[in-house]
Amino acid sequence: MKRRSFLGLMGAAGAGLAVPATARAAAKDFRGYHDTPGVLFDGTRCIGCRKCELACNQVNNLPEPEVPFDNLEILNTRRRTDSTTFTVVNKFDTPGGPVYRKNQCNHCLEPACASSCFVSAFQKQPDSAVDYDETVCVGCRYCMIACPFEIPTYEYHKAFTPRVMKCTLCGPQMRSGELRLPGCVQVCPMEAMIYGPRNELLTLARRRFAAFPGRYVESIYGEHEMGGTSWLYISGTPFSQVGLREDLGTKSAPELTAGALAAVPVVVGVWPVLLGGIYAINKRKEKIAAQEQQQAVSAALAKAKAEAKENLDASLAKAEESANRRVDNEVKKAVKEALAKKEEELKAAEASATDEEEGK
Amino acid sequence: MEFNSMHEFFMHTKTMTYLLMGGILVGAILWWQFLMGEKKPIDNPHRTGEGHDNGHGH
Amino acid sequence: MSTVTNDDFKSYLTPFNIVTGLIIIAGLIVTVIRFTGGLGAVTNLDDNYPWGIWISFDLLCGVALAAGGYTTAAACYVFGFKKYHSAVRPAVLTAFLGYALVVMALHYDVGRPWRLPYPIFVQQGTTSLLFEVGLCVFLYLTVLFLEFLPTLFEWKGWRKLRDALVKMTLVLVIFGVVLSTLHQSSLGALYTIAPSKLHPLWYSAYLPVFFFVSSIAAGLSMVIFEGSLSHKYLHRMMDSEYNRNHDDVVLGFAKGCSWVLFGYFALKMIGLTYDNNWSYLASGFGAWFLVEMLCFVALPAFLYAVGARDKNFALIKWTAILTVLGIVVNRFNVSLVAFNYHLPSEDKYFPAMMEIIISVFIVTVGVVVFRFVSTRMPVFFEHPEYKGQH
Repeated sequence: MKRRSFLGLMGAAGAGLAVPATARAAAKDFRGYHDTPGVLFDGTRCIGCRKCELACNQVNNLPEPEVPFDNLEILNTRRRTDSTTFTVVNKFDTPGGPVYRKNQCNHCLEPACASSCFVSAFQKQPDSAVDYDETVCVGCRYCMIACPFEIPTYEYHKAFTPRVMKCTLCGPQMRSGELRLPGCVQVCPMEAMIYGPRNELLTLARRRFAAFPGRYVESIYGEHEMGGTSWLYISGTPFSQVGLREDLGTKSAPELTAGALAAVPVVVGVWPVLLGGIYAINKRKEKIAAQEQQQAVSAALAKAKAEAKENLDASLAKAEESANRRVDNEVKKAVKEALAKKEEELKAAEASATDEEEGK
Repeated sequence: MEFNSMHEFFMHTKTMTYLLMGGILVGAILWWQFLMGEKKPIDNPHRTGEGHDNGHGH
Repeated sequence: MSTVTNDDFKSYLTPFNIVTGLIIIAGLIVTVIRFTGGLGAVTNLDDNYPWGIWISFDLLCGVALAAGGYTTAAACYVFGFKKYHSAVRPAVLTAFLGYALVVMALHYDVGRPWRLPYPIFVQQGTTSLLFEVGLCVFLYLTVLFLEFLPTLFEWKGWRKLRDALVKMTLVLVIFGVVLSTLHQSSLGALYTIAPSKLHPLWYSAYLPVFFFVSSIAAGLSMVIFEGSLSHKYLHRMMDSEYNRNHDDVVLGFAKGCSWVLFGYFALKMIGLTYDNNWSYLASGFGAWFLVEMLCFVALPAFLYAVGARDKNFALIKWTAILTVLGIVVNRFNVSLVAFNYHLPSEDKYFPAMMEIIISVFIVTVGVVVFRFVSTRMPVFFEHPEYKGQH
């Protein structure tokens, strides 16, 4: 039995056993699928024969490419995955000669595509494959924006049934028993890839570092990148020289968006309270302003009324006074006149009395 | 409930949170109406000319 | 049916109608190609650039520029600036049309548009910020429709329905602000998942805050800009109430916008400092970032302030255009220019002619519908039977 298929069987067994007794929701430390299978790619073994590309094409029933798989000239151009190619091998010219690296979906432990999909079309399966459900896919292509490894591709030329296309880790074929190992792993003549439980692959990689000092850059790409991936890479040249970005960071996609998502319910909780409050304050201000205005108006009215009454009273008093004065004057005048009359009568009486005395 | 990954955990909590948000928005309207719907004018002889306007609506 | 005479036909041949007619015909042709040949037949999209100008312009810019609806409504009904009341209806109509067109554009952009209701009704991907955007845009479009309906009912004379809706104004306005805050910010948050693809000068954990605050400036500026356009071309539809308050609205919004732009500039500086990205300023991208910040944020903030102090309405109008342009520049920077900054220039995306035609077509549809509605319904004037009843 070949070493890689032994590990492969171990992996398949692991997939069944590794069901997540280890999930620790309370501590928010999720390691449920970590022990499930992965693939270790050893860059020092790959010879760029493109056999894995051919196998991938066949097991997935993809259309035959324009450039046949036995043409190695194409390795001189940088290629990426596309809607009919789930895996590509690229050649990188390094100081130590050409180096080859295979590229395909890395089947992240916390996939960015799954986190970003608004219909939840991507699911990380217990057997490590990140599955895609085309029956709900709307085709927004946000997964392609989100994927840090630039893996998902789209069938832009289909009018009615365009799908997102990417490596499935041969999940469907292995679940149905059609394959025991992913197509690419099975076919590799150099055993550059090993399929097995991810934690064992990490140990194996470190054992190789120890066994061949100076042969490897002593770090495992995919152990922590973007929260860790099921595909792991070891290489004799720095990863950035073989097209693996080393600036991705270790934060997984759910962590990157957690802050923005956490703000959502806060807005719902805070805005209505704040805006309702501001509205009520303004309404109250308006009411008080209206009341004050009303009060001012009624005060002014009362004042005007009072003044009017005062005026009326004053003029009434004045009128009475003048009326009284007029009466007084009349009386005085009458008295005066009467007195004058009396005096005249007296004078007249005196005069006649004198006349009588003289006539005797 | 068991969660195998942070993604699964968030999928659960976010779904619950969205449902709660819907409830909060509906609840906010009802609470506001209850809060602002005083039934009778303030019975206070020292205050005049206030109490009929309940402070919301147009 | 009356017969259409030659004269009738000629009276329709105004320059405006000829140009819009041509655009609409071109748009319809491209529409047919898009829906029979797939996205690849009309766009330059590829696997590196899954989002092109239909997202950058029609979605990101469209939503930001339709922010006038919630800002104006909130200013009038919540914050108590009663003088802005006459500006609410045109702003709400613009926002409603804006969002309707965004949704229309999405039908072109997604692969299977008939599945657009799926995220809400079939399977909810609640961990996605795009789910949040989709849900809020769907709900907000409904809210805007309800806010717009009284205009239609007044036109039709359906008083009871109209009165029932007007009673809900406050609730609708607050819902509108909540939903707008959420999706305006979430549009920025869409990119928080891809720190490795967006240039550090534009990537920030504060992206949602940047998008939300700049949307307020965009909304206020669009109200000023549209107001001046409408004044030019739809003046006959405006009543004295609208005209009397128009200057107040322009001055108030100019002041508000200057203040918001100041805050936006400050926040962008906080973002730079928080991630210690100052060293990137000395690169090509840095120069472009400085152009965006100085010419399209700091400058309009200053010009608005001068315009409001001097009551210089021409200056305010031009500043509004500059601000709107600045928002467009920002959204394009985030979604296209600074996106995939690590790729060699030959892999960069540039829109295809037919993509541009669709974008122009959609804007044209918006202008035509706005003209149709505002020349018939009580948008710029108060319906005589409902005067002062708001």
